[in-house]
Amino acid sequence: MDLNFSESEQLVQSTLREYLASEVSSELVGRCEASRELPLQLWNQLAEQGWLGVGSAKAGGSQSGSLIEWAIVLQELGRVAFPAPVVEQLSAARFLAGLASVGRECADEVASGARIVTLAFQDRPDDPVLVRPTGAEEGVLSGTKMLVPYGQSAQTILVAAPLGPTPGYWQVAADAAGVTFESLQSVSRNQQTALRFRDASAQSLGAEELVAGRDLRELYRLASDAFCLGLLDRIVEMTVEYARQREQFGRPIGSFQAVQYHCVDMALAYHGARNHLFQSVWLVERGRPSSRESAMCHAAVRDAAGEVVARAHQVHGALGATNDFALQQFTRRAKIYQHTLGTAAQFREEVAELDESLVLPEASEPLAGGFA
Amino acid sequence: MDFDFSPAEEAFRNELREFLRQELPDWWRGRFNEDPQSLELVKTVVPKMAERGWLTMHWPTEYGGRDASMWEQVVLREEVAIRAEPRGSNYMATNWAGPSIMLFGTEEQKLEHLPRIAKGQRWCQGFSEPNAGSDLAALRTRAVRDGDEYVINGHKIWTSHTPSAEMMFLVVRSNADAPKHKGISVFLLPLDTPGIRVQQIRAMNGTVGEFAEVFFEDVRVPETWRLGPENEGWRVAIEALAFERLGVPRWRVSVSRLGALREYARQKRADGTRLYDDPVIRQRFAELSTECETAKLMYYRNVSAEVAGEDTTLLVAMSRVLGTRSTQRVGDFAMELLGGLADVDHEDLDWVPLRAMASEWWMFGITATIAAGTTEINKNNIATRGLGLPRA
Repeated sequence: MDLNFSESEQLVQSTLREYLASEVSSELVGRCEASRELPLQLWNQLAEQGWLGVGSAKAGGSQSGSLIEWAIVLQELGRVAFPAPVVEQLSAARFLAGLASVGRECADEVASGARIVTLAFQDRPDDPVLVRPTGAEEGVLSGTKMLVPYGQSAQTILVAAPLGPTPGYWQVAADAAGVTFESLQSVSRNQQTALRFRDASAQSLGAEELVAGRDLRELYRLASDAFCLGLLDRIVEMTVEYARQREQFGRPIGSFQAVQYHCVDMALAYHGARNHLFQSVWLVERGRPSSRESAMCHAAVRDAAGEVVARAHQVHGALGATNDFALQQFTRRAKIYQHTLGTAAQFREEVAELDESLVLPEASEPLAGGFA
Repeated sequence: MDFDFSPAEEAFRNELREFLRQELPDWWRGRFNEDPQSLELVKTVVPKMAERGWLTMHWPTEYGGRDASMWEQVVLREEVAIRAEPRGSNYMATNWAGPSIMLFGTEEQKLEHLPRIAKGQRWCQGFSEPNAGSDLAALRTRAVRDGDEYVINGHKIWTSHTPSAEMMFLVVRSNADAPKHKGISVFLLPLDTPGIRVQQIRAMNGTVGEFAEVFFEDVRVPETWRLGPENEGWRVAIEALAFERLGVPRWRVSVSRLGALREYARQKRADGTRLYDDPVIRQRFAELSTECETAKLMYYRNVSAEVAGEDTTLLVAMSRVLGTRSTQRVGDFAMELLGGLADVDHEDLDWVPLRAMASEWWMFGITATIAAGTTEINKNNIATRGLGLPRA
């Protein structure tokens, strides 16, 4: 048992943190939000340095970092609210690297960052995406996906849509005939789009797999958790710093216990959830059963997001609710992560189910007395 | 990172679990302070654990231990915690009184106390006083020098396990004129020393024994019973408590209790339905199950940092807050789940042990966030020493 980062994991964290701190400012994030453009120069630098392929096998089959490092990279990107589809890109890179059906070239282009990817999961309820097969591994898609982040910047879209009777994944070129994007104004300001398919050609990427390490949906959830935890980590830091600087009644507000306990509860929520993430990722990496631990992780991260965001705003007072102060760049995003790709209640239902169906040792333990 | 115990640690866990299964009868509930039969059981089980080297496995080899790793200690702590601590109050002695004596004791003190502790001697902790709780350094029990003796007068309270303990690790004021942290000394004294009177405190669940008050009236102790230099007892006490940073893995007890409650909720009731099928009940179970896991991971992260020699100020306080919180929340939930029936303890009812336990879990849980540093003191430490916020 050892819950410390290894030396190489620490190096990944410190190197990337230092780099991002010098390159990504809140002004840059604000500019990208307003212009709906990607910071392409930065994207290319991240790609050249190999960050977008961490955790995905290289062409030669050699590993380029563990899934723990993958999670660290995503967390660091979250710490600066990186305004590009990094969550989607790193999920896709890891997913594609594990597939036999897709061309090596495509997987490599995604892992190297040369090809920008986004993910399309949520159907518009009255116009779900359906597939008409046109070959063994080809089909045409029709229907609408909502909430596709950075849709207009992507070159490739991975789409969750039926493969015969089961849920599956499809790959579509963003410039294919029959693909149109509509910009959506969103709270997260992550360049949300609605994505409409009208007989758009798609290539099958196989069925949804229940093996977490190979399933795109589960990878997307873990990647989102990691990015969200990065946002939360930064929110805790900003709030503690603000409480140290801001003075009222002639002293820093961070010297008042009422304010201190807000900060403490934020730290508890963040650190508690963060440990869940690394446990899940560690299990997934080893191909071990992880559904219970991952469901707990998703629930804990969502609960932490609610707690941290609410208390951060309370400590920051009116200033935190202004557009000029950077806090909102982090809290808006974290609030949306709290409720996407499943809610805390949904994941708790999974936990309740698994706690009953898995035979847990505590089911048969003698009753512990009142001592502890 | 590594989220597995080693095969050797798992083997140790199984051996220990099997030993406890064989040694502890069904009626055992850990009430060694109030129930003579339970104390007798402690007195037979502890020597067997001593023979196997389990009591002092974390001690250095020069004092008869085997330098067991922190993770082996975690395994031991988890297994004895879910079996209601069969070591009785010996755990206090092996966990921190012994190690403090190794650090501050004279050769004579080491020779006198360490072998006895290693064989199972039971200790208690004379720290809190009526007017010195969270503000421990405000303690007033006086030790006045008289030649090569001291005369002790005063009053300790909330001293856990005093009724079953043989020795006390006593913190007193030896210089009333010095600043409060600079006039404190520590004594190691047998509880049968003349002038000591122990008065048990009846707890709200009707039992006596968990807590006691201890009165000192002209208790004469030789200078040789003092641990460490005179008036430097605050440092001794702080170091002693540092040995106990790890703490009881309360989350593990909470997991065990939650398991029992889940089994209860899974039973079919007279109308054929199960509590566990109620979506609200399921949410509560899952929420607590997740909280226990959160507390477990924080405990393990704290141990990991400790093993790596890192500063654990923030982690240890967070670990304690989460662990004690799980105790209270699971206790509350036990009451909620059993409803009005949690109020009664009658043998004709089904699930009698659980009904009796639920109220006990709640009542004992009340002190979880108070004993050994309140949640507020832990949060103050997180705020000031962990997060670097200015002192209140």
